[in-house]
Amino acid sequence: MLKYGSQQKFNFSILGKAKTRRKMKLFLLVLPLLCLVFLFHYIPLLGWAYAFVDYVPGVPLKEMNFVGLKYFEYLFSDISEFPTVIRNTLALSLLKIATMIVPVIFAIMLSQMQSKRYSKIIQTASSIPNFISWVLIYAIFFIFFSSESGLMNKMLEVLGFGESVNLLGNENIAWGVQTAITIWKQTGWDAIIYIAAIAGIDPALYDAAAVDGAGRFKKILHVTIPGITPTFFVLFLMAVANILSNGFEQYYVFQNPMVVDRLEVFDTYIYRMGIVNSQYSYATAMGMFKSIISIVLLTVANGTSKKIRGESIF
Amino acid sequence: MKRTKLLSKTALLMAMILACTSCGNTPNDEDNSGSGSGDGKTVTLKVMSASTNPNGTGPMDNEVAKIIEQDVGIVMDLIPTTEQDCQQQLPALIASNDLPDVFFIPETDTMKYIDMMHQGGQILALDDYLEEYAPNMMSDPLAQASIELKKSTLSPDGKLYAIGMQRGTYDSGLQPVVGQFIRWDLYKELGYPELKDYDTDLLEVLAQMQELENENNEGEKVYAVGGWFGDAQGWGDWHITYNLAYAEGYTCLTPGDRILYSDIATNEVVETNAQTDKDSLFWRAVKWYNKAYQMGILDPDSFTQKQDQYEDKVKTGRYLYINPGWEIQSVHDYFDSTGQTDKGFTCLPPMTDDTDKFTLYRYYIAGQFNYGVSANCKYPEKAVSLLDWFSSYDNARICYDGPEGNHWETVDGVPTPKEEYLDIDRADPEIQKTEGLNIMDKLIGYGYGTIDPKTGTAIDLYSSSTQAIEKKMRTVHKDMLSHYGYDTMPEMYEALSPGGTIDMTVYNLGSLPEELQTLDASLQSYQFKNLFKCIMAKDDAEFEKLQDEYIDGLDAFKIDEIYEYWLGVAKQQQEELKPVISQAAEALGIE
Amino acid sequence: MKIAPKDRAVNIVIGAILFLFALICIYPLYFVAINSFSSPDEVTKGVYFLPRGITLENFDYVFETPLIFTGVIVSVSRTVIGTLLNVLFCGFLGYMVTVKDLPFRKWIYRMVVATMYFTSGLIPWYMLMVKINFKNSFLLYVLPGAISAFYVVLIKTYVESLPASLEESASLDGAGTLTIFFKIILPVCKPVLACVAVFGAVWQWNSWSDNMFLVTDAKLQTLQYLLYRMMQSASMSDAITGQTSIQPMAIRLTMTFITILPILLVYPFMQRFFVKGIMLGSVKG
Repeated sequence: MLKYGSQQKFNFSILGKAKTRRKMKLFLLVLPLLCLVFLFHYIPLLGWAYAFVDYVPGVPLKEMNFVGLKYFEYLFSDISEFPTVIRNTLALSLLKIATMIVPVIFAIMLSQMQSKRYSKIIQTASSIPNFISWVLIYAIFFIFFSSESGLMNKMLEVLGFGESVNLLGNENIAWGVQTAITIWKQTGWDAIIYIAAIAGIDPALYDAAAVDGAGRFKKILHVTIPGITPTFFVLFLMAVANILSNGFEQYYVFQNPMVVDRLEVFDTYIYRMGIVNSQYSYATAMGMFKSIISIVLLTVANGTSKKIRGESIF
Repeated sequence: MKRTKLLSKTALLMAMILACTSCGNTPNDEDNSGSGSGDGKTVTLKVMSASTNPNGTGPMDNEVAKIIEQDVGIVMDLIPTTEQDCQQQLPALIASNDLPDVFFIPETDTMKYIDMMHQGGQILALDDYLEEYAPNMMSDPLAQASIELKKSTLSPDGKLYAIGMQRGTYDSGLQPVVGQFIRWDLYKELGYPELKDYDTDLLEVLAQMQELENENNEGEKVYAVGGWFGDAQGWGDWHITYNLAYAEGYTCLTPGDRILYSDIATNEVVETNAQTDKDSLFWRAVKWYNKAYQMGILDPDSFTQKQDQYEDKVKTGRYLYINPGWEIQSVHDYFDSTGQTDKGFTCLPPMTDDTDKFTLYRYYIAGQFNYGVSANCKYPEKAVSLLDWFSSYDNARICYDGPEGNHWETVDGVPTPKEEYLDIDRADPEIQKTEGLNIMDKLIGYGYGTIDPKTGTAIDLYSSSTQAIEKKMRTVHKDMLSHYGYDTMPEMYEALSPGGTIDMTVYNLGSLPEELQTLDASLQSYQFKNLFKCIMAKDDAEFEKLQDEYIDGLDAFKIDEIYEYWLGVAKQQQEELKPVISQAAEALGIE
Repeated sequence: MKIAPKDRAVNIVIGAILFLFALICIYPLYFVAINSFSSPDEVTKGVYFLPRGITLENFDYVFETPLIFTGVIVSVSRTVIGTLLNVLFCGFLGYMVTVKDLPFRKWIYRMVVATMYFTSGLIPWYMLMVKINFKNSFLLYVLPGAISAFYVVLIKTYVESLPASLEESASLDGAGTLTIFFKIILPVCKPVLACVAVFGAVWQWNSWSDNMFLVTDAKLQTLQYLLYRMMQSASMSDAITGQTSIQPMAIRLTMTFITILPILLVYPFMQRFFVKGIMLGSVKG
């Protein structure tokens, strides 16, 4: 008994030493990659300092005029369009999060196709809109949906509907229209991730379910869905954290005087104030604000997930 | 054994990454300056120029470039940019002290960029080089005037930091760059109804014209008026800023916020805040579009379409009234290709006696595009020589039309394009590549319509020579001339605009003081969001209500302070620049 | 295996829905294609359903663009090398953060994830690139984007969903970390790695802003940047001075067609990796 115990103790210390060495090795292995991350993503963050000065390029930082939180105060002053911008950003982001389920459904539907060839063709076809630039997408939408010369309205006219519908210039439906466009453009592409996740599910699980007498629907419910849930959940958390950045190009391209009140989002606002009007410090302050909110949201969402699901993602 | 393997792999990976990140460390000094020595030998200069032409990238190797190499011993290594891109590129280049030898400075906020570069000691003062290396500029009174202007409006300390290229004009006298172009054939069909004013008569006539022609050749609906309001702020609102101003002989001094205008003929500043004054050029333009909207002659797609879509409609004859003169050629081409040669646009002369001025020639004394020289440039004298080379009238013609004998020859002392030259497509990539014609457009010292004082011909023979203009004359032009009783278009416009036809605006108000800048940025987006609401008002009562709301809302942006600031600067410049303007006017032969 | 009639009906319904969706997704490509083969005059008037005035002149024009062939080579190289680095680096990092023995594993992962949300702005990024001599260097195209947090997250999530026994059995055999990664993890991760490769490749292929800011060397211009410059629409100063520099719609659409085509040709080859499942059983066995 005693002998056995000491033996075990001895083993432990050897294992411990080996373990430390292994840990060291592992760390050395990832270190170069961490250096890359640090170099390309963290060093540029020193530029956040510009949010607290009146920035003049080419002049050393310490010679610039320190203004403290002036640019952050602007953000919340009454002339800033901040409230509208935040409202639009949140609305569009929430709609985007609500429709995150669409690519999942699409991927599951694809997986149900008997003919792999058919599913491949559908998948390729549906990812096409993703490759087309927003500027061109706008041109195509204009051809179809403009109020006057749009093909849709011409068709409605032929069918005898009097009033023409203006999809691109109606602010009451602007959010919905943009969400629909996002779904159309992104579903096929975003589904790739879920298709990959489904492909990674162990086929033995399906066989086991079949043995238990599960039909198609039961298999989806008990094997496919649990198989892609982790992926979905991770993407969901990331989307929540990303609530303030819903992309620049789409809204920039679809903005026009009739809908600009609904489509001015954080990213287009930063662009307009920072780049077009060369308010560099202001733009940096806004970018910084956005980053901080995102990290806070991510932490909160992660904490909530820990409480609810018992494990944290990040 | 295994450990060594592992460690060696890690080391390898590390080394690889380190090698990667420091790879470019071998000093590459030629990168930023020339190769070879400065005296007599050929050097390469990096030139960042504003051009979208695909041939304008990298070391130039075409006929024009060879002439430059021969004359001044410089090979240009071109870095293409555009106004928009440069606004992002330049701050980055300045921040890293990495400016190319010669570089374009954006048109918007030019002074701001010069200030930045001056503060960092990165831009070279060119004064000392002019005498020796810029003979062309020193012997041309107009270039002199330009230099004086740059020293007083684009310099923090009175020295010369920017050379203005594309001086002179793009106007050939056939038509102004921007104006009130209408379908003259329809106007004729209506029996030349009297047009006494812009605010009502013009709209009535346009409405009648739309009734006459409500479909184009392809059977698509025609509107009298259109716009590209769907484009971004600063471009989508272009019509509002310019359509009326140029037609009545004014120019907007602050196109961003449209607060201040000036008179083209006298250079007097209009002392009213165009945003708050309901009779201003700004509000008249907004009201005009609102009326057009109410009358159903404004294409409802105007609010959602972008310039591309607008242009496509222009090109297929779907509008009867156009402001940008540069679109006219394309619609005339369309009419010709569809056999409708009698149709065409001409530009209306001033409509009433109150507004007897008219911007026929927009004369850029200062030069439209600014170029600076980096303080790090190894051969500053070469850089100045290069800019000076472009500043001779003869060389400017070489850039547009190639060397003499090729596409043009001198007949009786006057440069004359050869017959077949006017028929070729100068945009043909093959021609551009080998001959280098017109690809350095914004680096050329003179605008294509500028008259060479030696010979009395326009510089660019392809677009603006007498022969070229003759070729562009259509039935509508001839009819217009006979209607008013004149022989040539310039003669007619000048006679009908006794108050003046030449816009020699020289203001450069720079940027607002720091504390007003962010306010002004917000003001501009406020304007963009609300002015189109006014245009879309259903009736006059609604328009007035929206107009009042709009004007009330302006106070939040300290509009009065901004106005006072702009006015102060403008009035000061008006005084300071008087001698330069009269000097230029004298050189141009205007009183 | 026989299929129940009910199942077949469901299949047809699903198939039909997918077909309709794919149809509206294909239209933009079709639109671009028919316009590329139509004469520029007809394109201005509007070509929506069938090409009109069929011609190859648009393609002729685009292929005459100077530097276009070096552009293609540069773009292909950056896509191939950049994507390889993406897969390798992100794959390794994504796997390593699942290895229980890695010290500070959670914090390393968090540090990587956080980069997704940090934006530093253009100028600091630019200054860094100049400092490390990435200006006018091919490395600029492939190295800064080599590690993308999003891909790391995807891969890590995927690896975690694999049966733990897989790796354990290998480490019991005494295999080293790199061996496990290359011999075991990489093969079973094919679906997710293919997915990362597709994302990475498309991103690389479409990138041009790094070129615009930091590469002035004519030999290193990417295809996308050449096209971007030709696609720019008019501003007033271009319009009044350039006279010729604005490209007609037909040319722009042809250029779009030329850039999409290679993606669509290569895509199916990648696709089979993530459409077809991996036989985990065989690896485990």
